[in-house]
Amino acid sequence: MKPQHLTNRFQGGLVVSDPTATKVLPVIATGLPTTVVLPLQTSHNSYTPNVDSGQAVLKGQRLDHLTPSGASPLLAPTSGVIKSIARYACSQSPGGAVNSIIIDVDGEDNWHPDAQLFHDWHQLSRDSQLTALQASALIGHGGGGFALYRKLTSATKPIKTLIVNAVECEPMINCDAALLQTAANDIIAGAFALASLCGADNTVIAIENGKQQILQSLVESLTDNTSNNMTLCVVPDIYPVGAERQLVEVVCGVKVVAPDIPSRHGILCCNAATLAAFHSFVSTGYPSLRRLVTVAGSAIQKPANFDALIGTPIKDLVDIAGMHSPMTAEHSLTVGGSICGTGFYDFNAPVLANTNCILVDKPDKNPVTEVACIRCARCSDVCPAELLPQQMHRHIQAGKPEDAQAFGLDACIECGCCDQVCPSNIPLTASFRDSRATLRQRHQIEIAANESARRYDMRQQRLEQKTLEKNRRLMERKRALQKQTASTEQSSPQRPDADAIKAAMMRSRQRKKNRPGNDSTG
Amino acid sequence: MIAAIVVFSVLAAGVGYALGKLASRLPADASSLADQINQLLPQTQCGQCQYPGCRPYAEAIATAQAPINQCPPGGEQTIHALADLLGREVIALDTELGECKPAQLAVIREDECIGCTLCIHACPVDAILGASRMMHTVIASECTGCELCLPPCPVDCIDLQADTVNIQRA
Amino acid sequence: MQSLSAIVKQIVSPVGVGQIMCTVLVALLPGLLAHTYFFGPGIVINIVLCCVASVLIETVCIKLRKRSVYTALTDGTAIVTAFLLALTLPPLAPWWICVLGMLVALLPGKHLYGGTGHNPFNPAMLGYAFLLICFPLEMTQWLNPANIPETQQLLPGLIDSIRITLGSSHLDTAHWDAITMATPLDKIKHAAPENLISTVQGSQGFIGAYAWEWSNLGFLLGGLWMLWRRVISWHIPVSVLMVLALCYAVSNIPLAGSAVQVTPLFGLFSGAAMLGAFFIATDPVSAAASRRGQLIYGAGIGFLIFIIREFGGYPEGVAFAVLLMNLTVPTIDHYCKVKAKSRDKHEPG
Ligand code: SF4
Ligand code: SF4
Ligand code: SF4
Repeated sequence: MKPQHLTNRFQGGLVVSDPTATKVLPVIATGLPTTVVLPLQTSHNSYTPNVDSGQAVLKGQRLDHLTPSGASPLLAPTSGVIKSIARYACSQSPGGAVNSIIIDVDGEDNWHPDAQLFHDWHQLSRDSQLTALQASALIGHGGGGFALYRKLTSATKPIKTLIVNAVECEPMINCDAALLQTAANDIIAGAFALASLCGADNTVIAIENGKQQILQSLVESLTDNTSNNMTLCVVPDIYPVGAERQLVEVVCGVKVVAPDIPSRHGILCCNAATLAAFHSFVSTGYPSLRRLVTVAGSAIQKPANFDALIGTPIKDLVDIAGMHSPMTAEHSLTVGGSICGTGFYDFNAPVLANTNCILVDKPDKNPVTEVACIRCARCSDVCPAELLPQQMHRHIQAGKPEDAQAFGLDACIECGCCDQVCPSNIPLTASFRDSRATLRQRHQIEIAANESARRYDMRQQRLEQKTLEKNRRLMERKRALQKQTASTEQSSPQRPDADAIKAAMMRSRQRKKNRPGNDSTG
Repeated sequence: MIAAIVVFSVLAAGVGYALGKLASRLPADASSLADQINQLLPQTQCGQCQYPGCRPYAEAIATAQAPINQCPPGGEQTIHALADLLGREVIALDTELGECKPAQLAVIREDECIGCTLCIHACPVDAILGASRMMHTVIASECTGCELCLPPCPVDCIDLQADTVNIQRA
Repeated sequence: MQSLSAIVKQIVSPVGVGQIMCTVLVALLPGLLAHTYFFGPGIVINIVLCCVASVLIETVCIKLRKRSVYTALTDGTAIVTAFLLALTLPPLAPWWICVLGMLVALLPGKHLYGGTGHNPFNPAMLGYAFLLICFPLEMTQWLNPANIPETQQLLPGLIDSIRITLGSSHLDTAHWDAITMATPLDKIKHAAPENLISTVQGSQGFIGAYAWEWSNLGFLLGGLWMLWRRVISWHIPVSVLMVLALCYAVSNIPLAGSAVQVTPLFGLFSGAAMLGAFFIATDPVSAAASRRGQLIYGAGIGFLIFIIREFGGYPEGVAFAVLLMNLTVPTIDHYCKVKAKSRDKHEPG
């Protein structure tokens, strides 16, 4: 197998010099943690729990209520007892904490009887394969955090090309490199399985230039699994070539701009780690509940890739890796790589399916000061999404994120290139991320308000109709009565019971008079 | 003389036509203005504005019968939006009517509910489900947290919680 | 557009605003040297005066606005403004011209708008325009460039220049008249059409006017260096110069009926054309933000320079052209939203 060197480029991007790029950190297996934490709200999924605190759960047990189709379930990563359902630190929430299920691990790691979804993948029909995939809650290990099932079913065109994203172009992230070195065969097997599931005729494994070692091991594995519709491509090492849309542009020459997605163009792009997990699922029938996480940074003693259970508190991993000095509030915590990673504050936050890298850095000795934008347009020159970050930033600063939307805020891939080149040290990406969250929230509030208004109007209409109905019935009764009286009057001018009424009134007056001391109150 | 008359008539006709065109683009009558105002109100339907819901309040604002600072759930944000739309000045919220609070949800303690249906009739958005002498429950995703169901409940089994289910609404 | 846009970059050492401004100052040197050679040390005195004034005014403003003086001074924008203003002032201008110019440039031009990054107008050009309108006499007395042998000896030396600038030594009128002259552009403007050719040739240049040519060449050199260092992009200078040259070329067509016939090269190498195109129009803060917008912005400046030079009452149009185009920046920015679209590169269209 000969790797194919691609020279296509996408617009913008950075050539990043990363001295650690060729190094592969060791892989360390971790045992069961004492607690696991499962956030109920992540960037693409929100869950309603079907369990309560104190309840025992088994590994692979479903913990959430059925939600609208397409959503992936929440599975217990190991057996234990639910300690509580409460707000807990999360690395993905800007506010820092979200409602989470906290499980005390019992150490047994017993599978739930229904956890094994099938015995032989190849015996299943395509539909039941998809259903099983949904039930396995396999979430992309790359970074976006999309469920693989959702990705497959969002295609509007038959998938022709499957791209295996083995590119890891961001400095510091190392877990995919480690996986490629240790489990290249799994990745390739996963790619075959996924290609046959989605019907792709050709599969492209993409790896960036400069990773000789890994390339070598891939070439060897591929020579063992000869297949004529799998190719190995070496793409230029320009950050962010590992981002889905940029990789698609380089490999297939198709430019995909958000909100458009590659699968609408017959292309499926899948992270290598996701494929390894997919392979483990396909070959055993059990959902894959672990992943590799890089723990590194200037404050870490022994940087390594940890094979960790999803839900493991990050603190556990950092403890194993060791820190040069005890953690303080000044240490900076980042989830993701050193360019587009996001800061978080509490290292009790759990590892999620898409947590690829944890960076713990020493306090910054001379932090940079942010100054006003000088509109130098360096940011727009490097923006791979071809946006104008300076203009979006201007509108956001003016308190009008919706105006930034007119400049394409929604198409920002949050890659962090603009931050890197900004001479004014403006944290552009963070402000875009926040504004997008604000806008999303506003949009949801709007939807909810419109729904409330609709329900209110409906109720108002219903009440109105009810009163109308009531009035109509009253009128009818009245008319009926009138008719009746009219007819009786016709037959006998004097109402038959008129005398009786008079007599009754007389009686009551008599009674009142006889009751002593009651005349004033009546 | 004749030239002047002709010029001015043409001018008057032209300007009149242009103004007419412009006017038809602006919110013409109070009802469409009320619609626009209603869009800006939070649709909590709580009645704290002293009107029986957001739409009646919107109509009152549109006909200049009410000031723009009477909606506590909307708070400052709504007042700003209304001031923007109507070209009025921003004024402080009338706190006698209520305070602006974070989003909340009503939750019925289901084992205490006696099934009196009183809360069902109070709910302005039909978010309570139940039948006579059966347990009632609040549909969390529809509840606006207006608090209107609390006073009628004879056994006080309705609580208000911070809205964590629809965090997005916060 | 596809191949060269990636920038090599060390993650740890980002380029700051200060470094960018330093590069700009270095790039000004060749032009400055040419300027000093032909017009004597007066320009250096201008620069020193403007820089001192700029640092003082900046410090006071920042103190009053309660910001970090260190951050404000190290970003270097005030010094660049001082250099640009000084370079456009006539050498041997009285000292208060420099100070007043800086005052206008920094106070209403920059700090009243909120400081660096928020000024809609180019501060140096604002100061210059103010001076030109208020003190036309002082602002138009340029020294006769030193290439003419008999005035070479008459050019005041450093000490004399300082004394003239500070107003403590007055040259007698005859001497003053001997060393000052109108700029070539001025001459063209006021020359009668029939002796125009000799006027232009009389300025002893091979393309433009001798001394001006050299200083313009210096600024061109500095500008190219900035381009190479990626401190500025090509969009603004290229569009300014192209449109300016185009305008001159069109006005040279006999049918265009223009009174003045000047070759495009003369237009590009006279006055402040190069300084304007590479150093003034490229001031990022007051220029259009998107690359496409910058092309429009530069083209506008080139066109306006020509219009003002040809038809306006002032000999040089760079300052007013830049200020007028600054006015249009918000509009340009509003309409230059680039929005990428999904496309398949293999399929045409
Ligand atoms: S890189 Fe920074 S200073 Fe330059 S235009 Fe962009 S945001 Fe402004
Ligand atoms: S973070 Fe967004 S705006 Fe900045 S370079 Fe990346 S895609 Fe462009
Ligand atoms: S106070 Fe309540 S009913 Fe009135 S407008 Fe505001 S949300 Fe609607």
